[in-house]
Amino acid sequence: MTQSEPLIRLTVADSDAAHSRFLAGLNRPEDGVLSLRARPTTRRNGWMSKDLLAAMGKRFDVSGKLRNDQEYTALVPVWLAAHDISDVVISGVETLLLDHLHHLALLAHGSGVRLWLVADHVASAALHELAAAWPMFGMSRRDFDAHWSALPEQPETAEGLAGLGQDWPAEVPYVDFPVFLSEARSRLAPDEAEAVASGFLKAFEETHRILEAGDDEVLDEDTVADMLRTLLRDCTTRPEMVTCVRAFQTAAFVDRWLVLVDLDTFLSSGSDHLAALAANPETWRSLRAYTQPYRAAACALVAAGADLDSLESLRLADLLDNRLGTDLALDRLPAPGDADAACSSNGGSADGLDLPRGSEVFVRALVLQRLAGGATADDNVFYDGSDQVGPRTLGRALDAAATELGLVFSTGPVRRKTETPKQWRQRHGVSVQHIDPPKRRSSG
Amino acid sequence: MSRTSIVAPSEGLRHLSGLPDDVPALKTVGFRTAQYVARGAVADGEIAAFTGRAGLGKTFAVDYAVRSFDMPWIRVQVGPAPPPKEVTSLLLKAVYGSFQKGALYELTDMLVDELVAEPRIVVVDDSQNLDKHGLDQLRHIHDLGSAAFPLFFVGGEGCAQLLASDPQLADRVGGWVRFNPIPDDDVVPLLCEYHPFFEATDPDLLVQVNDSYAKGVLRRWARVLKVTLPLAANTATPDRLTLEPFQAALSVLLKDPNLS
Repeated sequence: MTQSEPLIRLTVADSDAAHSRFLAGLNRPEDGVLSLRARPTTRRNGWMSKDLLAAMGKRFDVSGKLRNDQEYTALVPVWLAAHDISDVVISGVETLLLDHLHHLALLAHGSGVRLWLVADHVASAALHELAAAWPMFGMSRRDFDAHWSALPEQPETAEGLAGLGQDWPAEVPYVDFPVFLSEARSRLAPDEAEAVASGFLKAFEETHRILEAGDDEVLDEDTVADMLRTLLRDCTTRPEMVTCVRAFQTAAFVDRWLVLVDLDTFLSSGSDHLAALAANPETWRSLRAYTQPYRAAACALVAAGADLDSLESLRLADLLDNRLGTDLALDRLPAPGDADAACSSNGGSADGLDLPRGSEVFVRALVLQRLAGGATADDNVFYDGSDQVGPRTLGRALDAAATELGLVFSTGPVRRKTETPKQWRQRHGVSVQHIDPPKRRSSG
Repeated sequence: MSRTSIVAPSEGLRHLSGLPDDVPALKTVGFRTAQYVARGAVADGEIAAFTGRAGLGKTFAVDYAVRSFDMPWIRVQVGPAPPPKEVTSLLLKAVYGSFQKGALYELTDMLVDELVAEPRIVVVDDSQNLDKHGLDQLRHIHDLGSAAFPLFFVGGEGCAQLLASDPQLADRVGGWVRFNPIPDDDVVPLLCEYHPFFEATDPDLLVQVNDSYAKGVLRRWARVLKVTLPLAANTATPDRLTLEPFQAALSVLLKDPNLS
């Protein structure tokens, strides 16, 4: 399909119940396709805007209701771009008034999405007028069906947490690091032991490589603990975390660091829950419910480790690359512990935040909304309409996600500041100590 | 195989008020077809239409059908040309037990969400009263539900023409059941199974009553039974219908201006 082809195409289809279901099944925002049915009683463009947002997963029974139709309409192009929607299929268009059809045509041309209008049985007079005013072409139902039938099968989306860490056993041995690997091999089934050993060796080698290459002048208790913290971010299940902890301890010991971990305290910290939550695709699908971009974006950034104070001070320049709004320089996000971050209290890693996979769309939408509203690179990211969003509002957004969607992004009360490495060590029952080389006794 | 037979009555069915308790449901052709079509519509979440003149047992057959499935059902009776919001509100009231506030947009979504979350058989009685906007709204609600729930249109005179006139809807109707009056040949055997009072009656008199009044319409036969039973109790033949109580009943029944 070339760019010179009209963005709008019209099909008159004698839809029966089966074809109606086929059309409804085309709604797949993940694949860049929206499909919705025009309401026969549509009176305002705002209804169409809300239906488009709903097709992208927005819900109107959760926090963040907008004030009027105009606000909903303004967010449609933002979300279309953020979700990278390329095609919008609207069936039942024979019931729409000419005003609504013009609105859709404008939206298609403004957003660069292909608009597939499907009239049921008859092409109304309004559709004929639309065809006279806008570049568009007619398409037979056969061609329409052939085009959309070629869409690949939708993968199962309900795997959620069940699909995570499926190679790992339900439990791993509750023993200390010197004997962990041998106990795992002797107690677990062969395939489970293999998964544990593989994870153990991977974490061991990664830790050993970093510690061996590290400068003893730079390495201290905080940086070593921060390495453990970073390593655990990729773990999604409790057995995986325990294995990583034990591997880290072993590697650290080889490199003359004694890392002690009170497993009871560690496991009761709730960090495994947060890691699993961030790694679960269903989490980010659920967060599409919020129409206001700042709500889900705040959840995404907090899941990546940001605190509320640093979110408040975050500027668009921190997120933008050369191509404004399309590529987000996420590695430039201030990390917790980044000494340069305006409100971050602890020094340490200068690495950027790693947004959980699937959550980028919310940050992108927020940036696009701000840019569309006239913000510049020096402006704050978190605004809602004309009001800056402070830590209290961001905290309420996180609370709303917890109460309305069951997504809890905090192991306790939501904090304004990220805990310091020392606080993190204390909460997780971790102590780090350098093992000095033994002093040689003089023989004489 | 007989074209009519008897099935056990179900509790709470909408018989004509005042009939004896032991009156069974009559398994006419229309009744049996309705059960078949309803079964398919419930299995596939389709739209079904049950049409025919008044008094032929449409509402009763659908009432019987919805009780035979393991699925909750709601029934609304629509007045003249209800606007889309009224149709939606009526259905929501049937679901929640009270009227819900909100714009049509919100009410529609609320209803669809509820019907998808907990599917129910939706029965719209007196569908001939709907206009195009009401029909469009019901079709839209069913489309939004993506066949999560079956939708039954039940309507009298003009209903079939109304539904067929809307091609978008007509193509989505998975089954049509048209109810017709009982054929003359079937009237006497059917009535003999309907009630012992008719079984003991002279068949010629039953034919005469059918020709002069009932015209094969079930509801009229139910009225005859309801009115003549107490009248016959005061005669020498209380166990059967005779000409005298029928003529007395007719003087009451024919006050209906629609009767010929």
